[in-house]
Amino acid sequence: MQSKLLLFLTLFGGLSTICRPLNAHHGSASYKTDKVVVMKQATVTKFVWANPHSMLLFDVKDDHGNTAHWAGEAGSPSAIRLLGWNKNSLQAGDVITVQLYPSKFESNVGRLEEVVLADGTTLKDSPRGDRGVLSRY
Amino acid sequence: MRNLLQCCVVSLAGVLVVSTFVFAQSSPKPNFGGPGSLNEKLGDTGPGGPAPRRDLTGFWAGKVAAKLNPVPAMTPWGQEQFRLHKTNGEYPVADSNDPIKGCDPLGFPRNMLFMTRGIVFTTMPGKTIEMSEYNRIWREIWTDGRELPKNVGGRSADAPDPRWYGYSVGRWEGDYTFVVNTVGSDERTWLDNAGHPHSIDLRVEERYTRVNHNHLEVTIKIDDPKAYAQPFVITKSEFTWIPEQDFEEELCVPSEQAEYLKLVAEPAAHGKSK
Repeated sequence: MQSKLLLFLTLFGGLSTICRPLNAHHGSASYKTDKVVVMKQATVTKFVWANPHSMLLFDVKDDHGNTAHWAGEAGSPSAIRLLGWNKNSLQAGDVITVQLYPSKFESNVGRLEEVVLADGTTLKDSPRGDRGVLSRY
Repeated sequence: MRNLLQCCVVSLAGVLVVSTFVFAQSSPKPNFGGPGSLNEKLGDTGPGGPAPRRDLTGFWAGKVAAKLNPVPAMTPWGQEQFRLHKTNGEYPVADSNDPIKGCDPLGFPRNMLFMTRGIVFTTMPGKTIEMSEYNRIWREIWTDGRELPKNVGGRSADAPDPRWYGYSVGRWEGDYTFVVNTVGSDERTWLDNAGHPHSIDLRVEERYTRVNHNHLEVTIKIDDPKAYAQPFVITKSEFTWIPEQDFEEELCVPSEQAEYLKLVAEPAAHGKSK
């Protein structure tokens, strides 16, 4: 039984923490840059179109029905507008899928990778360090 | 063996079921992200014709950040200042002491090395005005033949005070290169995002060469003997003519930044919000 449990944990762990490298970028010191967290059926509570950081606040329910409040940061409006975002791209009540790089310190915050809207529209966050000293700004 | 196989199937099924619900971790598609600036979005616009004579007037698109050359050896004073600077690259934003964390001005010359998505030139009698998209600031570049002020930051009553964006004078070298010399940049500003320092003795030379109608090359030379062992060219960057002659509003807003620090940066660094 112990070996079965071990096998399950190994399989689960292996499949659920597949990682990819994320180039270090300016301002990423708080985040785990080697893996992304995916949250489905997230509900937007607030979208802050702000300089120098846009912010997305949203709620996610875990499989026990408990609600967790999350905050994700994205690039500045000047950066993400070029990628199809605008001030009204996300509104309270929208149900979305969120990918983000979580804090190293186990808080419910992270750097956004992308947001997928209910209609399938994908909003990517601004590019990062693979082009030099790019940033969230 | 059969039990083992069953266990594997059940385990895998369990993983797949869990992953379709609320919370999962997986490998994302690479974030190619698209353009980071209007400059990148414009791409190769071609020369657009010859450069007009002695004229930089208009809106220009640059990259988010200029590619920087390595700095030379720092003096002991420079090394000590550098040691005190906690950058956003090395520290969580909440723990850094980068002046721009609280929306302080980038200052000059950092504003020509970072957040350079857009610049504008216009002229007035006796001066050229250079403006930046980021924070909508402007610099006055006197072209009336005056000399740069001396003893900026000195204690005598007639000594000019340091400025975030210094004191600048400009002149044309030939018909296509505008040379700007600047002194008096406030020591509170950093030279670059890496936290390299500068002193009040900093002297900067910018050379704006309009290669053709659509392209502007900028070379920036740093001379600060208090901080660096020798003068150096910190960057040679390029700007592209913006066809619509317009760009985004891009301001660091203190109240929005405070909200960001409270909701994101502090919890991200210290785990307070869970």
